Amino acid sequence: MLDILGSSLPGIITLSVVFLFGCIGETISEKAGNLNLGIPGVMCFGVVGGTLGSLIYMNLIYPSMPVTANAFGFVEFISYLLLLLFGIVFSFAFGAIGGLIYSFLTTTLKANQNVTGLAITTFGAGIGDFFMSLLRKGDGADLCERVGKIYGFHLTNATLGPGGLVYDDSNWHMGFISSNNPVANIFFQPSLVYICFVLAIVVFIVLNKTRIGLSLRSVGENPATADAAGINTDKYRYLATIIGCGIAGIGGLFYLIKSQGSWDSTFDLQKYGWMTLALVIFTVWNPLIAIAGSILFAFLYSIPSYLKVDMVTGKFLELIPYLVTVVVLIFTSIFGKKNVLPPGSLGVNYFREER
Amino acid sequence: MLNKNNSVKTLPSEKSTKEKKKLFHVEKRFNMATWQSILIRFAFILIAIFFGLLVLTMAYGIDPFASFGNLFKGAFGNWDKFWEFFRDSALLLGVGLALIPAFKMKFWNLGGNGQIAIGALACIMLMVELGGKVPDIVIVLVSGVVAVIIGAIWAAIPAIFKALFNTNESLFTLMMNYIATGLVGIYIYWRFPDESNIVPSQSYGRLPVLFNGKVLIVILIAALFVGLFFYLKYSKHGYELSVVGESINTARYVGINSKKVIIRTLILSGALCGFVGFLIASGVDFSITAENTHRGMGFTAIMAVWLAKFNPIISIGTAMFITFITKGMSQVQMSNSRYITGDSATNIVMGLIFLFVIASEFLVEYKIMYNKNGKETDVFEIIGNFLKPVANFFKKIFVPVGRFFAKVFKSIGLFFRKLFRISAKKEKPRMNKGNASAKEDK
Repeated sequence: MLDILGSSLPGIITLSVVFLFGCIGETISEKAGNLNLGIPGVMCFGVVGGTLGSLIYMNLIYPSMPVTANAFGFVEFISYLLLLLFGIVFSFAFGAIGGLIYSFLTTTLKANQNVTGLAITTFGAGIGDFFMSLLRKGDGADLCERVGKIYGFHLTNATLGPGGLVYDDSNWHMGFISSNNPVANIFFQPSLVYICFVLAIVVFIVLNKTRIGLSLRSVGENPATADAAGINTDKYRYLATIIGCGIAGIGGLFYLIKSQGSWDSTFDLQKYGWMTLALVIFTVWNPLIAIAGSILFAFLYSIPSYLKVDMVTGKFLELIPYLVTVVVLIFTSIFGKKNVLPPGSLGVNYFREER
Repeated sequence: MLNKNNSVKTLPSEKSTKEKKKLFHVEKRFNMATWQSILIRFAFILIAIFFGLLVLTMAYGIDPFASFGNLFKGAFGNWDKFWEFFRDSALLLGVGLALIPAFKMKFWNLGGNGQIAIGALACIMLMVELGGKVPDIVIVLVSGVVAVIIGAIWAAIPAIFKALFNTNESLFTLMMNYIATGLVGIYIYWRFPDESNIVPSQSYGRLPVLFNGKVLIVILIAALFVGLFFYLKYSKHGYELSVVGESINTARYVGINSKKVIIRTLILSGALCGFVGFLIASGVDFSITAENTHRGMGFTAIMAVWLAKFNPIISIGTAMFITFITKGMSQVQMSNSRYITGDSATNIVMGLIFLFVIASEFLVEYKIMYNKNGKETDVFEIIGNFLKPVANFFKKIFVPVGRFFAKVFKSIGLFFRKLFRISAKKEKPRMNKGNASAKEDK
């Protein structure tokens, strides 16, 4: 059992980060009162943006970037960071476009949030399938896989050697841990994983400990009161949704990294997007709990393939996250205190001239 | 700290003075005529289709006019497709009818997919277990009833928690979708471990074939439509649920038990979804898969009824429109399969149409007021005023031209009358007589 856990946990944590990005983004959006059902579509936007950004970098700026680990010197390290930056910025921007459409329709045009979200999901899925097949035309597919492999480089894997940073595949070390140790493997992750965990903590602090977070939550709880207190509700809802969708878009990029640049269709990504929505409820709108929750979801989602159980048990294990989510939803609604309940005006638009 | 508080307190007054200077502001609209709202929506749909075709043309190099033809070919290409179109629209309408009562009550039932899937699962299970042992008609009846009951239970669970503890229904019903599809997957692997994620096509317990396999479904949904229309419009239940949707406080004041109404309406909603699941299982697919049995109709139907403003009659049109676009776009895709992969083209065009129509709703519901020197006017009026000179200009050009043409045609007419003197002669005396009598009267 421990063996299996040791061999599967790194993969599980990698998968969990796809959920975690989406979950952080959706949490910010929902805390401001926008129930964004467009998250699956927004993640599809993000994967397009991330691929586009990486391809631009690989094609135009540094075409000869090596894929193999041997030639990983200082220049490569810096260019790796730049590539990462390109991918993140572009996927964030594309995700933010999805958020902008959403908040323009719901906040400015006061359209129904559920319907808008579903429309964004449909649109995003189409855009994702379409542009990914366009970007992967010709030698694009090859490039995508190269990008995926390069992203797969692990920051923890690069160590300071005599000739600058040395990337050594066979014998990597982070301080005192050797790669034969199964526990150490857990930390053997793409660098975005660490960025994501840090982001979760930052978002938690911003939401719960700062004045901005307080205003944001008040907009989600009761926009009329927030408006009376002089908070610009529209601005908060716009920014929360756009930033949230941007973060979820990075999750789309990470999906491509997780699958090492291979791509079939948006089907799986949409599925992850919908799981994200469950995860937000499961973690009671708290990014810190979301770290643990996303790992649990990824564990339940992928453990059947590691355990080699029969399909019925496997399917049942896949079902558990949703069952637990429902139980959490019910329990919080019956016994919940204020901080574990859904935001008061979740899914309701605010129009000042209405009673 | 004190200073900070003071600055916060002064903010609202500052804001209100700023608001007065705002150029545009939004107001609720109450007086839009139906034809105007239809015109606005139609214009936006046309814009969306235009953009969709533009994307297709620019990205894939597809001839837009040929794809426009394919759009129709896909929906009505031959008799088979024609009936398929009606069947699929009917099924979508069926789900829409299920959702209308819930949505009118402002209960966001996002669980249509799950309710369909669970109804279809119940039906398939009965088909598999009873097939060949009892007469087909018994299977059909029993599985229909069971599917309806199971679907009703599936929707009633979130409703009960909503009514008793105010649990968020949109999140709950969303979760019930996954549980339902998960159960379907478990059943498939439990009962048919050798098949790959699908129940083999069942030959027992199929819906009886009337004329062809599609007509009966359309008839059944039509019957449901009539029933639901009268239920919503003329029954006490229909009135009660719309009151609960408007305001729970009003409902309580009038003496309506809103908890009872919520649970009752959702039982109806789930039952109808379960029935659609039964129709799909025993009338269309004869098998079931975890992912695709519901065809995402629980979500598409939300769009359909929302576009129709939860009006059952208009829903017929929107359901047909959505089915038309889906079927047509899949044909466009088929004929250009070299360029397009997956559902991308369909999804892009559908998404664009949805987004544009959602945006158009704003113009129907609200009016934008333009503020000039403290005097507010509707932007539409301003645009109308701008267009007035243009209209007058055209009037100035076209009225003389029209008069000229009228004169020309009149003279041509006279010329022909002179040619065929016989008819002219016959008419002339009559005219004279009339004139003469009129003169006499005076």
